[in-house]
Amino acid sequence: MIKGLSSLYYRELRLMSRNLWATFIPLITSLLYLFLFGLGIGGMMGEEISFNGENVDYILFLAPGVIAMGIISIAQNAGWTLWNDRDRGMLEELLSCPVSRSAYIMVKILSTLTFSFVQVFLVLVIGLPILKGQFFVTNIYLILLSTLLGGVCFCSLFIPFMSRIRSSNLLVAIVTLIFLPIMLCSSMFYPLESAPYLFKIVAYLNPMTYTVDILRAGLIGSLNQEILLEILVLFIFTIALFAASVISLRKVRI
Amino acid sequence: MPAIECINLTKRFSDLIAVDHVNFEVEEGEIFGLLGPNGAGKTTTVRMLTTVISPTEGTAIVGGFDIRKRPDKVREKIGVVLQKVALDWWSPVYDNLDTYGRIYNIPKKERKRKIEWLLKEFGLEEKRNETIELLSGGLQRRVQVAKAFIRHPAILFLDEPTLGLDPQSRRKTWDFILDSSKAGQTIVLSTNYMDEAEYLCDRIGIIDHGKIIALDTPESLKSGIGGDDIIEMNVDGNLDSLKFEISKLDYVNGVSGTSNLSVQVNNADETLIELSQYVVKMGGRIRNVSVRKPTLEDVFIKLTGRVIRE
Repeated sequence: MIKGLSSLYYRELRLMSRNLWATFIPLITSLLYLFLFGLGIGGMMGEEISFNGENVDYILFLAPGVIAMGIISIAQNAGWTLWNDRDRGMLEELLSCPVSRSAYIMVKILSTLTFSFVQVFLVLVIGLPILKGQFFVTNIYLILLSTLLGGVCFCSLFIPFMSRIRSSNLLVAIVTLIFLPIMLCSSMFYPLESAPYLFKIVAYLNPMTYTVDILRAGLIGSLNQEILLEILVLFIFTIALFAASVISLRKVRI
Repeated sequence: MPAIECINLTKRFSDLIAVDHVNFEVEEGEIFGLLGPNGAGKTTTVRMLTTVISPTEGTAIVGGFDIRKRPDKVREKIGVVLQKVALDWWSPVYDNLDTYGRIYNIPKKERKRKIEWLLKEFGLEEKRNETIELLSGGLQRRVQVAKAFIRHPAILFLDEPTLGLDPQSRRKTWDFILDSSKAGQTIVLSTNYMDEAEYLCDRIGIIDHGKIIALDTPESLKSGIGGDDIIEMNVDGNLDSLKFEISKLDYVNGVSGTSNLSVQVNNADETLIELSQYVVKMGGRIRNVSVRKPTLEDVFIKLTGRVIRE
């Protein structure tokens, strides 16, 4: 057991329960995006979209993207709580307690995962059934796996920035700079099949593409060799970014 | 075995040497003060000893464990009150204390009892459900200090614990520190309040520019400046010239001061009149005179030529 994990996780949940709006808004935002994008842009693009050679309902195509967007937003929020802890001296105090830096990172990841899974539940069990009148999931384990890997991956991505940059203005600018290409240069909103070559290269260097693809396979596709490869790539991304976040927090000047 | 042993403890930040090959020991049950001006290296020393940052060079043994090799074991032995108020901003007072108790695995019943006691002792009972962000700076500071006493670690580090506290809370904190010491706790107190260091500490290390420049009991430090009394003179005239002339007198142990003359003598009763006459003879015009006992400020001035709050 990593020292201090349970007490830190309790603290995190307690902080979130004291700040319910900040916790709930990202969850509601996903549903909002699903309705707005699904009904608005879906309407403009037509009811169906060509995906893997088949015509697919655009809302079903979009739902995994919305879930992934929710995951990265929740991860970003967890990163901001780290920045706050550092800014207010809590990080320094916690690190002088019998609490390891790994436990601190793990708790940020655990809270990201907790709310990511709640968000998956909201989209799949409430959002889509309201929009489409039925429940869609072909492989729930792929959805859970992608949420798990994506949550760890994106939370780890934000930790080095959130733990090092002291200026909140600069941090907002950098987070925005990271956030937009991650979402837009991926398969989040459109299929990559017909994308330009360079765009495809960037998209396949982006862990968001794999997160969305695996989620999509869980919702409207199936587990095949390509998805297996994507799981492997996302797993490697996740391990690398997690290691980078641990090293970063270990070396951070508090 | 000492509770703390610093061995060439050094911290560099780029070109700045914040702590420069510091060596000292703190005995078990002792209240040890680190006294120095802002930026002297007190907080950096405390941060290294509490394992928050690593030394660039040297090490320290805290509670029997090397801060470099076993920081996890060190953390189990220590408690810390930081200079900065470190609290969960949007949580109530009670939750802040409870979270801290949980981190140290204090059983629920004991935790509750301790929190109730601390709320009462620090006058926070009525504020127990208020969120930290709504409290005044002084009350936030009280919560921060109260947190340190929720448990009884072998070694307690207090970094400017009374900064921003009202006199009553300050006195209460002092009582807590003395009680904890009586109960066997080793305490390292970093402060730039001379009266605090003098009142609480068994020994004091005076730190300046990252180096310990003197280390002894408050009494020995003060007696080391030469003389039992200090005659303070507010004088019009050429102070540098007067200082030079006065320092030649055989009953004068030392002269300092930038706007006033502080003259160290063994017995002010016997020398005051003679000294005053000499100052007048040397062209000085005395506006007022007072006699006082030496303080740690005088020690610092003698060692560095500066006042501690410069």
